[in-house]
Amino acid sequence: MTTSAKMTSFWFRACETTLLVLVFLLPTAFFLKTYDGMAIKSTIFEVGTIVLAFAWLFKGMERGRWELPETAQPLALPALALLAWTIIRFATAPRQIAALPDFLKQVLCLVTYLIVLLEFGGVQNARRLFGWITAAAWIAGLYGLCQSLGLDPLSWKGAFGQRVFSTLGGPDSLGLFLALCIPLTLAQWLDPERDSFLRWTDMALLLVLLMNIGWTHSFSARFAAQRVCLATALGLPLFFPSRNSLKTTIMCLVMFVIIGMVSFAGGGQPEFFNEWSHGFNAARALISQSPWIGHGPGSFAAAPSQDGGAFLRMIAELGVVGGALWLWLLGSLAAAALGARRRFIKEGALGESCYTAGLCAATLGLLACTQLTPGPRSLFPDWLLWPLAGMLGGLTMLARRGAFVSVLPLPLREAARHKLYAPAFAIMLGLVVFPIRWFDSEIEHNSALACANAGDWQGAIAHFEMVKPGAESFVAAQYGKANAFLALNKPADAINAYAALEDLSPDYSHVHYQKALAYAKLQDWTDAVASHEIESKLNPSFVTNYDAWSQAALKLGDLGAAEVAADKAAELEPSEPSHKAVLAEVYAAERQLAEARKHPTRVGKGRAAGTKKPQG
Amino acid sequence: MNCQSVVNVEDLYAEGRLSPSRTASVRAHIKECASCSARLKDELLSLKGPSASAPKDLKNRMKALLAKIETEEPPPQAKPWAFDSEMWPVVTSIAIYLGLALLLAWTVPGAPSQRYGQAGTEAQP
Ligand SMILES: [Zn+2]
Repeated sequence: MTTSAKMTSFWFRACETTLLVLVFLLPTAFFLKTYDGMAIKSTIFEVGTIVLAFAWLFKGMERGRWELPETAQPLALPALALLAWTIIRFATAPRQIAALPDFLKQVLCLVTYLIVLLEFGGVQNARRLFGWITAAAWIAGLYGLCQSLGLDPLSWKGAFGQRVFSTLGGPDSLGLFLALCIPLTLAQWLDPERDSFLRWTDMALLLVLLMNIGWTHSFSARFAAQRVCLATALGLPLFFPSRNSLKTTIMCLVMFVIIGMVSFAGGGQPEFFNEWSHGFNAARALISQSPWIGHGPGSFAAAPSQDGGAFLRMIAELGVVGGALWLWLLGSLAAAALGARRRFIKEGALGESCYTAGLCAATLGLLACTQLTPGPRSLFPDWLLWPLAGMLGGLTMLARRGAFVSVLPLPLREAARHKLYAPAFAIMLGLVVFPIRWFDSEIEHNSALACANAGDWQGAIAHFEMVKPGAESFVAAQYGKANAFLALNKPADAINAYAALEDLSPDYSHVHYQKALAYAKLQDWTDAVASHEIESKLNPSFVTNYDAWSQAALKLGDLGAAEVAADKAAELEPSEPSHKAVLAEVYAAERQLAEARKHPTRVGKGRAAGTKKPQG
Repeated sequence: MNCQSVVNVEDLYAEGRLSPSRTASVRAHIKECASCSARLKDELLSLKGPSASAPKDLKNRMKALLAKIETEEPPPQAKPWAFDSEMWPVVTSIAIYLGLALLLAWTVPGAPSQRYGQAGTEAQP
């Protein structure tokens, strides 16, 4: 073997190692010095994908060319088109800083898909990928078991009450990840070359998965598990017709029924479907504003609102064009999988068949669970869709005819190519610095919140200012900083900080309500009332806003508006006495005014009482 | 294409696996470049090798051999993935990561996560 061939092989191994480390670490890693203990997953994901991409580039550099086999083209072209469209839309969209973390995620997911598609087509790669994912599932499952027994030694013990959340940091994410491991575990179990001892461990893992899904007490997780079981029951015998796969179908159907019974006994379905329809309508409204090209990738982060699942969210962000490219990619994958199925069965390629079956069921299950299900999406397990889809594409390529390879040659001699290593490494390290700095920002953000919770507002502001643009909590930190100014009784500084926040994310959280409070401190009642009004349009069910609005309107002397706002608050929370107190105050002011009208000599005094008298 | 680009793709060209458009551009280069033309001629000759025909009973011999393997030997079992000798880089990387993570957890200054603390509430000022 020449040195160059050895180096090429080394870079291939580096790619593989990075991918396997990623699939193992993403479900298992957490860090409890950031507000969201899952922030480290984003860091690992970003650093890992940058290293993966560079290892792939180095491999091509060493070889003097980058290859795109003809068989991969139908699966790579839609992903490349979607990648290009995502980048174009980001470059042309407003408010890039708030959208940056989400945009990066989308780009890096597509990069992962492409590299896995091009490099990891073999059944041996599939075995390793499945092995490391199920190893992570064991860790998550066993930690979940400890949590269910009340044996969690860490500070987040009981963060979700009795519900188990394990290393995924939330019951819904944990349930979804473990549900996805069902088809992967069963596909491994079907592998005719699998060690018999390991096949027993597969069955044990299945039990651990099921128990944990139950302990999440999450309707959405159980619902997801049901859909995955159904996809697996259908997918495995379709791709791997054998007596064993009939057994897996029966197992899946039994699990489907058990989970269904537990799920409907546990309740939670009305809230789930309510959220679903609410998210669906919100996404539809957003899509109708810019149906063709969308609002830009990551725009959901810039203008947070409820979404109706990843697919609608993507159409809202990338428009019908993005949706069509995504469907093209999905359609190509489905066509490739069905085409490969016939070849594999005909040629008796058992290993390829069972892993294709597992990948199909898992990607199908994941799509069914994320694309049309509302709720905040978490990086993991959503990210898993991309390496699984890439691996599925890679496996189906084995069944395709077509030996041509498109190449992009690097017109340099070996010695000159080796000289590229130093600058390329420098670029890679330069890029890796960003996610690490963002992670540091997450730690600062958490420290700021700790200061704020302890009432140290100056300390909080100092920490909030250390949060760097591009970090996931950057926008939240600007909000926190403005709120800290308000708490320090510096309303003018707070208003400036809220204005800066509005440039980043115009309708962030309760920014208009907070801003109204700052105006109220400056006794600028006109602006306060205007801000309360905007807040009420964005968050019609936010009760506290109506009370404050009513008070501000009273000060302004607009008794009609004050009454409407106080009425609304009392209507939303009829049993809450404080709303009635506000309403009583408004009525008192109205009576005072009416009396003043009856006795015109006291009019001036009455008006003054309505506008200037400080309220208790 | 320049000479070095041709050098970097000539194995694919010699095997006839280069895409038609790239093959055309390699051919166009060879027509004008004497050194590439000579080098590729040698490579193509070495690939073809001396012509030889397979023994006539090869097919039957292979079938018999396969039948013998199928009846005599138990199906090969893949090594458990965990003991796969090629897995050491992954295991090493994870071990390094865990070491770093523990070091980070102990040494990085910062408050305990405000999301899961005693209050257990979404802490926002
Ligand atoms: Zn030449």
